[in-house]
Amino acid sequence: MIKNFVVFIFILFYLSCLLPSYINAKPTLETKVQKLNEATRKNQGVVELDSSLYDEIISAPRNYSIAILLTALEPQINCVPCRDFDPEFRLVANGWLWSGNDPSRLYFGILDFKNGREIYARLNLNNAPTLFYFPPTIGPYAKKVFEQDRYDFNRRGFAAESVAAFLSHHLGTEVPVNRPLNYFAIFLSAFFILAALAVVKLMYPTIQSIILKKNIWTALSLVIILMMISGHMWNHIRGAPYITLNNGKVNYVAHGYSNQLGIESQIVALIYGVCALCVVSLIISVPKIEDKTKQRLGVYVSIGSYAPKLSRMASPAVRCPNCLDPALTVNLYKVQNQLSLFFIPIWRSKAKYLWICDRCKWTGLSRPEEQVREETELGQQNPPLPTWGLTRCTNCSMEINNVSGRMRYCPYCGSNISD
Amino acid sequence: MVLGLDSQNQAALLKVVILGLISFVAIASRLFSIIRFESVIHEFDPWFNYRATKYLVSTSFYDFWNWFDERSWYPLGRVVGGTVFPGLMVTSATIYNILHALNFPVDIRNICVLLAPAFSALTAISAYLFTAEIKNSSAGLLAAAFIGVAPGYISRSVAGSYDNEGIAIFLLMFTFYLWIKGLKEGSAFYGALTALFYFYMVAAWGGYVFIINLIPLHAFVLILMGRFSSRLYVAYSSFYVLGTLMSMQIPFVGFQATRTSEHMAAMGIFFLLQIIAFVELVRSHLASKQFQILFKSFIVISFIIMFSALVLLTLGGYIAPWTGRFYSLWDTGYAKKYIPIIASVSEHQPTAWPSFFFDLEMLIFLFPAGIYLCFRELRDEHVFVILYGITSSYFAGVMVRLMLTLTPIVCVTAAVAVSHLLDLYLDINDLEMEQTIDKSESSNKSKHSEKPVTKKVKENGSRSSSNQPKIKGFDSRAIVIMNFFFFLVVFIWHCTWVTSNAYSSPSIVLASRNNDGTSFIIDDFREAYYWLRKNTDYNSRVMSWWDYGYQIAGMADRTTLVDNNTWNNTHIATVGKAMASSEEVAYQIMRRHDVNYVLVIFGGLLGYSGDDINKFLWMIRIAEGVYPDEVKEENYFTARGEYRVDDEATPTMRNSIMYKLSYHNYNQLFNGQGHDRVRNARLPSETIQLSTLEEAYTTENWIVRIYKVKDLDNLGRSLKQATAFNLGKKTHRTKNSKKKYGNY
Repeated sequence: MIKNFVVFIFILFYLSCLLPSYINAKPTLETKVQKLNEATRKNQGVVELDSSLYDEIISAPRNYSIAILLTALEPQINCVPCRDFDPEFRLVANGWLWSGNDPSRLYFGILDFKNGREIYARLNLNNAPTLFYFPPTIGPYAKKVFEQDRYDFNRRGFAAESVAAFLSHHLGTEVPVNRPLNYFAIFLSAFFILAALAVVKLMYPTIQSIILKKNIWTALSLVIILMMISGHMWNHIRGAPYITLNNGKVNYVAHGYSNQLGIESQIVALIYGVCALCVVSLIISVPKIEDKTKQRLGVYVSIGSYAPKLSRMASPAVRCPNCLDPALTVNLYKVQNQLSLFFIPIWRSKAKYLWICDRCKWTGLSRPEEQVREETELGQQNPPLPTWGLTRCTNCSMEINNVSGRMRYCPYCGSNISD
Repeated sequence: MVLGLDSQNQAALLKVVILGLISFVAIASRLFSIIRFESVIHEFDPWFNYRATKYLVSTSFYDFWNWFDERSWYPLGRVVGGTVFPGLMVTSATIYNILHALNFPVDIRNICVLLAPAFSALTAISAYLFTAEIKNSSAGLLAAAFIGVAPGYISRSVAGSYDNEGIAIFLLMFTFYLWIKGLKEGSAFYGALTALFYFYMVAAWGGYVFIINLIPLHAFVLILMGRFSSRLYVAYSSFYVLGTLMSMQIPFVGFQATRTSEHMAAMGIFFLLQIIAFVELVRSHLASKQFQILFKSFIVISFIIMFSALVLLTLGGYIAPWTGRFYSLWDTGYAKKYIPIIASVSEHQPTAWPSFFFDLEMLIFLFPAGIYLCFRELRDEHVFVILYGITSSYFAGVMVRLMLTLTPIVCVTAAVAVSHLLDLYLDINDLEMEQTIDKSESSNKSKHSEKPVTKKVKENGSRSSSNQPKIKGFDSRAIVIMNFFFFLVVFIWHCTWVTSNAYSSPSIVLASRNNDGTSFIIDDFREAYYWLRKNTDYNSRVMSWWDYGYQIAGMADRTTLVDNNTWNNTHIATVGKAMASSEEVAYQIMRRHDVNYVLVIFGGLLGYSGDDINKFLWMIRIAEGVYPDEVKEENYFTARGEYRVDDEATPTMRNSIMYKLSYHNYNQLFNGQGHDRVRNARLPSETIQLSTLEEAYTTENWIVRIYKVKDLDNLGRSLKQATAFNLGKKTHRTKNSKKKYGNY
């Protein structure tokens, strides 16, 4: 009996020695699940992680799936896509929590940059947000593949629905997204519709006179046509940036034949509009002017224009010191201001000579020195730092400020950066 | 008096001569490609049309109607008669038969090559007729001249581009002309003619949907403007009923004409017109005001009921919703998400402003001016021009390809604007010096000629008497005229330049320049297809990406797996999967489909950027859409999200047969590391080993590479083992020898 008791004490002692060390060294599955469940319940379906917790929950025996979002929400980092995506991710997490499925099958974790610098460094991540899906390794839902899958934001987009579709595909069951009804918006739109109806009812004579005005319809049609022929639909479909900044300089015109900026198409529309206006005034307004001299003035005003003119000089091209394009892109140009009647030159100012790169629009007064491109050194000096929305174009290696995450084309060379 | 004709006949003669010259110029400017290269069929789709036309000429029409083509889409085959717009083939076959009946033994290929230029002359004439209805015949001549040379239209109608669009634009313009004419005169005859040409259009091009929606839209807007008239009723009803009945005769359209959303607007407007006509009839017999309100509300309510019935029927599945191709015009993100095969075609990309300017030059800013001038007059036909302008400019903005439908209306409106301008500034009668003399002359003229056909005479008479606006100074006139003369010259120069440089390449024969300026013809495509035709079994199956299906069928006369018809997405995805996966997986797919040869296009040596490695991403994407578990797009990108072919290329990329077939033996050409001139990359130094395929033929400039699929091994080994065994001794020995040297 005593012997037994001694053995029991011994075992107890042994266990008490063993247990804490065991917990510290390797968390059991149960403790992990317990932790996750607690955090999930507390935080509406999302587990806030830090570096150690991250390592803990993705470590090998998992009977659960977990989707981990690596993000950077600190204001000084200024990661706009992170901030945009955060509520979407929480929406998916919340939708899963209330979906009626077993909530311990799939967890949602968020690792912010401020809590997980080590993880970012270890994974060598340059971009945020990044979303990983870790499949279960054991248990009834485990499949053959244990490696994580990375969610491709460029291709799938930032919407909660596409994330849910991605997770549904992996889990094999549907991950629902219940967007909360925006009662305020519904109320607001209902109010506006009613108000609009009321206004129509009350002010019917006025509105009728507006609708029946030919000029209104003329203006409307012309605006539509001008927008269309200046490539507005291209901007709309491709999500072209309105304007780009290059080293503090504002770019109004994008490079490449099939590429443009938002403001560029507006400038073009304006030019077309002015030209059309000139033609119309030549046809309609000018002939109505009674006085001969004034009429002549009208003709000249409608036809004249004043613009700087670039003409390329015949001089051998050299390599650009800015973009280092292997093709020789810098040419000598003659710049003159000239007054022209439509496009027939009438008078020219004194000429100025400039060296301009056709590719990156580098401009210099004198001929640039020859430089040798050293790709390998540039790439290998130090590992790339996290860039938060700033990416590098694969084609011309210019830095692109793609903060909105919607840009698909490099504003410098026009190559596709989304693929 | 010239040639013994009075002024009226002189004008008519001049018009005929000018139109003839315009037609000549229109045809001549499309012949660059024949002069530079030779009389060949261009690009991809025309090869199918050419093949179908040959079939039609060699057999009978009914055989063509029932043609089941077992040499494409292997092993499925394709019902050609029921899935093709036969208008183009029937047109050329008719011309062929007429010419042969007259004992002109013209080759069918030459008819096909020259069909589009010939129809462009007809387009110019129909643009003349259309614009003459809008303004007058002088504007018509300008419009004809513009459309004769406008690059936006030339791009699809150079000699050799034997495609539906070549005849469709003529039919489009002529149908619209007949519609305007019918509406103006309220004539059932012209309405029926509209329907007849609409039928021809349905037979020729899928773009007929534009007509069947634009004409109802015009009718609807006229009703909203309170311009319902018996003329509209007669013209529209005769057009709709006959047009719909006739269009249903085309098997490819069939009952779509009454059962799909594309055609519902036309049907709805037809019923609405019947109701309105009935109400108008009753109203003309009842004068009471209360009844009128009742009837108006009756019209509105029946409109709402019809609309909701349409919605319900669509939801219930009785009416097919808009097909993806048309739907993607409205919801512009739709195609990229759900139909990558449509999004992958470069013609379906949106249009940036430079292409508008490139294709239309100065017409582009005269277009809004012309629309404004139409608004000032705003007769029924001007409403049509405005609606056409707005809708087609939207479509052209969404898809580069639809620039083609925008071009005619731009030419018409620009012609209206220029003609207004020239009327004012070129009108010598208005000069003060000659005013008095002119007055008597014009009054004499109007007395002499019984019918005042030319409007000018009438206008001048009234203008000189009243206080009409005019230009007084001679210099003001001169400067404007000079300017616009300059514009027109630059326009012609630009059009010729664009036609010659951008749109006259047959794309099966490429041209480049040597350093000394002599031209260098690259004829790899025909070389490869001819090799296939001469050196392979007649029944062998060739696997390639779908772009080259029609060319292989047309030029090499071999069976293909997929072609440009793209009717079966799964089959295309299967080919994409084969191209994207490793040799073992691809071999299984190829064996299952009895593939004998694989053909890839590789531009790395020459810098030809339209090659398969650049199209590869679309193959992966399309394959991923059907086999999401086996093909994954991200596996072909490096960790930094780059698409590369050099040392940093991903293992999946390097193992894909597309990569292997493209770069096989390429390093040997350079005695070391190959350099890809398209992607500007140095290739990995290790040699690419193929075990299931062997190189059969590579063309002069390496653009086309053909590989033969090996048969199963005689000893029952896997082909990989067999290849390793054949190479085994060698590698073993070299390893050993290296070790030896290392040891000693």
